[in-house]
Amino acid sequence: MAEAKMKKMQSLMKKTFIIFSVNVVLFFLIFFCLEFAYRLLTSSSSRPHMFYYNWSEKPFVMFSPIFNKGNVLGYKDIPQPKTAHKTRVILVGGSVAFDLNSQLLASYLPKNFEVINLSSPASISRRDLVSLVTEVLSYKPDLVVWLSGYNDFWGGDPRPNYPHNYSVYENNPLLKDSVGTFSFKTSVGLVLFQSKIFRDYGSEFIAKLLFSRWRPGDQSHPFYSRYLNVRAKALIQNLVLMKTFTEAAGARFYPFLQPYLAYKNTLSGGELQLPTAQPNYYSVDLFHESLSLAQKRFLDVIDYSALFQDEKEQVFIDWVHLNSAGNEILTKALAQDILSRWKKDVLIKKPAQIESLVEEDFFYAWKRQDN
Amino acid sequence: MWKKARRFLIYTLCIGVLTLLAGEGLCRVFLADSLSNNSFSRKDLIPRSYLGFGPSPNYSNPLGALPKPRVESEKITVALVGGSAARNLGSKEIQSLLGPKFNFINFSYYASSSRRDLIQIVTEIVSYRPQMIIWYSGYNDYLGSDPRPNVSPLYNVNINNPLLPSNSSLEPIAGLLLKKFVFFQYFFPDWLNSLLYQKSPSLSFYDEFFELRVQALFQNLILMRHYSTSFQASFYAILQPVLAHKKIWAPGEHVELDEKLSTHYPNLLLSHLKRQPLPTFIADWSRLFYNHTNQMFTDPVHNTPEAQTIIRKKLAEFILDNSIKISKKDFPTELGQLAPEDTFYEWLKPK
Repeated sequence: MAEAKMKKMQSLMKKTFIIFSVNVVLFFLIFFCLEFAYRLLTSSSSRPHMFYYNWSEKPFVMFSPIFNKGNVLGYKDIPQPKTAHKTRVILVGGSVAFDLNSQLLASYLPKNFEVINLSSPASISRRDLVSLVTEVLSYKPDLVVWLSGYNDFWGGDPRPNYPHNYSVYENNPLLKDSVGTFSFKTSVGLVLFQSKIFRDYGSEFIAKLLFSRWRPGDQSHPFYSRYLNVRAKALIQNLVLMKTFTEAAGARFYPFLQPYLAYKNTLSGGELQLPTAQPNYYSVDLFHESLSLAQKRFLDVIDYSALFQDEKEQVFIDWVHLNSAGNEILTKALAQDILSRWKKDVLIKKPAQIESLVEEDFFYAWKRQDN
Repeated sequence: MWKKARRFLIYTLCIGVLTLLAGEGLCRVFLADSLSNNSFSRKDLIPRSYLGFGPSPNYSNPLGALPKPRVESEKITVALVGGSAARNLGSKEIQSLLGPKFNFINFSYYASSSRRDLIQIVTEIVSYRPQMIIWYSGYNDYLGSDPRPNVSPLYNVNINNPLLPSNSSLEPIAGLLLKKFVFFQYFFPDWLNSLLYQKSPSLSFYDEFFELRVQALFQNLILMRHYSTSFQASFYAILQPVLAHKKIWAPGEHVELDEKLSTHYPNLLLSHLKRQPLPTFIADWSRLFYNHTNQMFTDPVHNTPEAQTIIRKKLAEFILDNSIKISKKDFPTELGQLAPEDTFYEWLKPK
């Protein structure tokens, strides 16, 4: 009797094991088939390190907003060969600069000025520096305008000088110290992150699994504030380097700190719905506090953080991004300040080495040929 | 019979898939570094923002330079940049040849190309206030594993790679998918590469982009020199010795090499360079071992210990000779206040 029961148990266990194994195998086979089919039918570009944004991954510069056959450099404007009589202004920075219309800015400047927008949403100052020395200066600008600031203090990665949304990269302190000590949840998140289906359709879900200690954009977490001082120092350092290299290339460098909702006295319309708890005041103050006297004099930053202080109408759509009315006011203010400063500045002669540079898009012949 | 065969098939499949998953789990637990290595075909290169790749970051020496860089304003700081040939020169021997008046830092890293070196100078090296920067490389720019100019070598599995036949071809997609497994990356790298890079061995892409790559190398050298000068550092470029320019090959040097890799391209690069007189800041050491009869190379560009000793001596002499020309101008005030780059790696501090 007992023997028969035992045999029955064994057979049941065997069956359960087979059913379980077959299910596991089937699950993975179906998943791999779907993943395979998805990769086959969609673009091969997988941006495996990036969260949320669909920017194109780009060697060294990390990413750019557009990247296709017609626009190999990947920015909003495509630089054309420079003509001798034009004063070339190149705009760099993050999304606030990206949203500006270069034609509109040029229309507020004298006729011999041309404006090219080479900014990228989510860009931080280290990315701007790398883009400046490898891409921007090869288009021989006479003036480089940097408009940004917020991204260096906020973003998907709290580490100074780290690009946004590259969270699953290197020894990320947001994850645990080594893979061996990852929790089961984090490990599952990392495994799912390898799947293009999950990356494209479940990035929020993976972020929840991965960043149990912090979530991209969570400014209330200690991780966010831990490196703020160092981030301010890194931003200033990058601006100093940008100005040094721009001037060495025979151009002027004007840095502008972008406007913030936090400094607007009267909120109106949609601005009233926006959460007010934000450490923007702190980051702007921190920037000014971290500047040494020599750096302050050298950089001569124009601070637009309170540009809309007395504005009564709605100009912000979130803490930093502007609606069309806001963009127009900002563009006018930029044009005025650029001009007044430009009139006082002495022109720098471009060194022969810079004049001889080939434009960066020249090296993207492989990109033009594909597809 | 059929029942047995079916059962055997199911068992084999189950065991196969479960073993693969278990193996992958173990690899991820014990081979931590390769976790984020998916874009790379070499497992010793860890992705690094802006530079493309670098050594595994650690708190004691986050930049991975030899030795850990320090600002020593009372000494003459000399920074060496370049690829593996420069990295293999180390720093101790050159430092002892130069003496205590010098602060020699070797910032080079394996597989580095000139675009990476340029970015390293303007983002990292500048903050250590070097008076002299020496670039010692050349080979990686025209023979990295990616033929695209200014694309980081080993960045193969990436957007619109011309080495991959097309988006809808099955083999590279399978290769890309399998590349997600650390297990395959570690144990079957050659097979993975054979799936992915069908066009690579033909070298047709190298031919196609060769001119552009040489031009990109030149442009990066000009920019490196220009930006170095802007912070008062003298910049010199040295073209590394290559086996192709050795007259008599010693027995150990007769490795099986593609003729193009070993001879054709190095010759072509030099002929390109010599169409116009070489700029004075570029020194050509490619024929350094031309008349040597001993084995000096272990492959087309890497040197034996004997050759490395010769190069170190020559490099030390080169630095000493040129250090006389170093201008006594002060480092610009605003740049003198730069925090050394490693201070931004506080997050690596062990918890």
